[in-house]
Amino acid sequence: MPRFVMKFSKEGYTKYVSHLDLLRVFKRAFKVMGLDIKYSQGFNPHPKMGFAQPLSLGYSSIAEYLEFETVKDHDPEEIKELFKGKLPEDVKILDLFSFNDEVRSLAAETVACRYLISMPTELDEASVKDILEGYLSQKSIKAFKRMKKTKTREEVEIRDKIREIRVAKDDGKAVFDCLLDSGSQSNLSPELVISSFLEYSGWDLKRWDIEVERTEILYSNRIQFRHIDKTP
Amino acid sequence: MNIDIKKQLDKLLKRVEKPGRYIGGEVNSVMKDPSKMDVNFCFCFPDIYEIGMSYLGLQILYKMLNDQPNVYCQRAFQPQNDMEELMREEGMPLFSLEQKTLLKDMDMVGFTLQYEMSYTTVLNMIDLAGIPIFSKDRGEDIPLVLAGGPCAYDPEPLWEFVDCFLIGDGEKLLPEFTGLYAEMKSKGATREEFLKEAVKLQGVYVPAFYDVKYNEDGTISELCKLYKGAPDKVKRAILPEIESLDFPVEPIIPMVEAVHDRAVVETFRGCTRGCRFCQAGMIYRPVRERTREHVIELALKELENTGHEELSLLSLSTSDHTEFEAMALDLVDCTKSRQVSLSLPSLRIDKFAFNVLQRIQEFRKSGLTYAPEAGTQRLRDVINKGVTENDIYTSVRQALELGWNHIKLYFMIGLPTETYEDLDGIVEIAKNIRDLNYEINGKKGGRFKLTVSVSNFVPKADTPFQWEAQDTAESFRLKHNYLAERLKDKRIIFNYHDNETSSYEAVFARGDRRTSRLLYEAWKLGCKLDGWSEHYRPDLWEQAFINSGIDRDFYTTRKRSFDEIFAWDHIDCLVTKEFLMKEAQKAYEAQITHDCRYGCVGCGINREVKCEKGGIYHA
Ligand code: SF4
Repeated sequence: MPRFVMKFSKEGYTKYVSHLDLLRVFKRAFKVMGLDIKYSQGFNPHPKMGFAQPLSLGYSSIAEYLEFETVKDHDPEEIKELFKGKLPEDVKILDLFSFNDEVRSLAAETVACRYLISMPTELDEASVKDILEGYLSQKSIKAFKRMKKTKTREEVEIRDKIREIRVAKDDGKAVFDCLLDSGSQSNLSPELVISSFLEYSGWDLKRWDIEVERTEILYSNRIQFRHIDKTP
Repeated sequence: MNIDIKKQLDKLLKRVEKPGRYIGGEVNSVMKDPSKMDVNFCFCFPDIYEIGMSYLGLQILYKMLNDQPNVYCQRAFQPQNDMEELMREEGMPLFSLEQKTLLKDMDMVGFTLQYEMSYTTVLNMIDLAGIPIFSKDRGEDIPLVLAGGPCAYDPEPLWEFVDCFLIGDGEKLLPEFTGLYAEMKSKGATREEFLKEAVKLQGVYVPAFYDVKYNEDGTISELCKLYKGAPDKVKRAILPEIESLDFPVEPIIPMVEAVHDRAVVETFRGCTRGCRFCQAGMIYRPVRERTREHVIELALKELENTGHEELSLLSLSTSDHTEFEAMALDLVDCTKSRQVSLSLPSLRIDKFAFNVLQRIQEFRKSGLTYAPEAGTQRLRDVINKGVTENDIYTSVRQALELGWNHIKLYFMIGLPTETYEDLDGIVEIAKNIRDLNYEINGKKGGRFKLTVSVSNFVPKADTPFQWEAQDTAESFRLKHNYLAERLKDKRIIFNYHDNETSSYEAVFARGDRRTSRLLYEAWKLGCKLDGWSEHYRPDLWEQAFINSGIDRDFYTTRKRSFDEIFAWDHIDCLVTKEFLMKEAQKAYEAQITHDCRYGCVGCGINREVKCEKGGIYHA
C-alpha cells in the first residue's frame, strides 16, 4: 500500500489550532486536492491518516509528522505540489516522502521528543546553568499530573523520563533544549518539566509567559528515514 | 501590524478556551496590507465565531468587499466571556482576525442584525473595540459604525449607537457606499460631509438626520428631518436579480468547527406566499432565482473548493424554486457520488418533495418537519398559511408508510384572533398523527416519535401583523401549560420557548427611539449574548426595564391603530403600507390571499423592480 510521511511546521497563530481541528484541516485539504486517500472499511469509513504525536494546544512546532495512505502510488513531489494554497498560512510542508518501513504507525514507533522551552529571566547564562544542573542532579523529581479519567492530580516520578536538558540564554530568555520520553512506552509532557522546574527554581513566572516549541520527534530503530538526532 | 498587540494577544490566547476562534488564518481568508487600502472595513457579527462563521451573508459580503482592490474587509466576533474578561483586564481592545488590526483604527465597522436578541452584543462589541458607545460622541478619527440586515427595517432601537444603517441588499449598496467613501476620503471630507452625501444612495439611513416627536399618550406625532437633503423615506436598496451576482464558491473554511460546517448555496431570495406573520416574506420580495444549472454549478464548485461533506440550500421556502424537483434530484445524484450529504431546510413536504426525500438517506435520521403554524383551518386562514390538515395527514401517512419514524411539527401561539379552540386544534393534529402511526405500524407503534414545538408569536415591523398585540407573558404561560397537559403522551415530545425573551424581542422588533435606553441599561448591567441560555440574564433585563422607565406593555401587548405613526415609517421596505393594512383586514375575516404566482396581489414591489414570478402559474 502506498504510504507517505509529511513533515510540517505549525507556527505563528496556528499553534492555537487544536489537534483535532488540525486533523480536520488536513482531511479537508486531501479532499480538495483530489488525492486518493485510502479510507478504512466499515460503516463509518475514515481516511487512513494520523499524526506521529499530538501537539498540545499553544505549542508551536517545526517537526510535526503526518502519515497517510493512498490508493494509487504517487510521486511525493506531485503531492507536495497539490498541497499548494490548501493549508493555513502558518502550516508549512518541510518534507514529504514515501514511507516504506514495515511498522504499524509512526505513533507506535515514537520514543522521544525534543522541545525548546523558553522562560523569561534576568539571570545570566551561568546562573541558569547552575540552577538547571541542580534540578537535574536530584535523584527524584516529582510532578503533579492531572489524570484524565479521575480528574484528580496525581504525583508522578519524572526524572527517569528526562533524557537530556541543556540551556542557553537568548534575548532575555532562558531556552531549555529538552529531550523527553514520548510515546506509548514512556511519556513525559513538557508541562511537568515546567511545573517541577518552576517549583525547584522558585522562579515566579506565569504559565503564559512560557513558550514551548517542538523541534524534533525521535523514533525507534525500526524507522529508517532520516534520524536527525541520535537517540542517546 | 502592531508588535505589542501580537505579544499581548499571545499571552491572552494561552489562557482561554478554544483560542482558535480568535486567530484567523483560515484557508481562503484574505490577507492584504491595510496601510495600502482606501477603505478598511470590519465585518462584525454580534455573536461568537462558531455562529457567525455559519452565516452565509458574511461569506457573500466578505468576498464582495475584498474583490474590490482598494477595500479590505476583515472580521470580528464577540469573544467568549473568558476572552473578553482578559481583554478588558489587560486593556486589549477588540481586533480583527485577519491582521489583528484594532477596530478603532479602521474606517468603518459594520454589524449584521440577524436577531433582536443580539443588540446588547452589538453595544458590547462597540465598547470592547474602544469606540465611544454613542454616535454623538464619535469624532473624526473614529470609525463609522454601520448596521444592516433584516432587523435594520426597524433600526430605531439602535439609533443612538449606529451612525448609519444600510437597508436592503448589501451586494448592491455596500460597494456604492465604500466607493463613495474612498472618493470622499481622498478629498479630505469630514464624517458629516460624507454622511450627507451617502444618504443620496438608495438604502442609506442616518438617524442623526431625523427627529421624532411624541403625543402625550406616548405614540409618535411626527417623524421629521433635521437635514433637508436626507430622503423623506429611505427606500431599501434592491437588486433586480441575483443570477448575475458573484457567489462565494471559495468561502473561508473555519478551523474551529462552526455550528454549520457545510457548503451552502442560495437558490433564491424572496417568497411569494405571503404568510402574514413573516417579515422575511415581505422584506425580501420579489422572488429572485438562480437557475437550476447555476445552482448546481455553484454547489459543485464550492464542494470542490472546500471539501465539505454536507451541502445545504438556502432560501425561504426551498421547494418553491421553479425547477425544484429537477434541481434537487440532480443534487442528490452529484452529492451521492461524492459522499456528500444533502440537507434541504424549510422544505414543504408535499408529493413533490417525497420524490426527492426518498433518495436522501439523511432525512431518515433527522425526521420530517411540518410547519402548519396554527391548529385550526380558521387560524391558518387568518395567518395565510396555505396548508390544510388533509395535506399534512396525506403526507405524514406517506412518510410513515415509507418508513420514517420521526415527525416534527411547528406551531406558533399567541397569533391574532387565537382562542383555546385553536390550541385544541394543535392537540388534535398531534393525536391524529400519533394514531395514524398506530394504524400503519400496529398497536405497538414501532419506534415512532412526534415532536411538537411551539414558539411565541412576535409581531414584526413590515408585516400585516405589525399592528397586533402580543400575548402577555401570563397568557403564554397558561397556553403552554394547557398544551403541555394535553400533549402528555409517551410518543410526543412537547417543546416551547422561553416567555421573557420573546417579550424583549417584541419590544425591539417594533421599538422606537426611546427603547434604545432599555438596550443601553441592559448592556450596562452586563447583558450580552442574550440568545444563549447560559448568558441570558432575565433578572438584569427586569432591572433594565425599571432603570430605563420603559413600559413594556406599551410596545408588546398594546394593539395599535391603523392610523398610528410607526417608528419605522420612514424606512420603506417597498411593500406598501396599504397592502399590509389590506392583508391585516383580510386576516380578521379569515380570508386568504393566494400565492402571487397565481397572479399579482398588489404588494407594490413591482413599482421598483420587475416580478419574474408574479402570475407564472396562470400563464
Ligand atoms: S408585486 Fe405582485 S407579483 Fe410582485 S411580489 Fe408583490 S404581489 Fe407578488
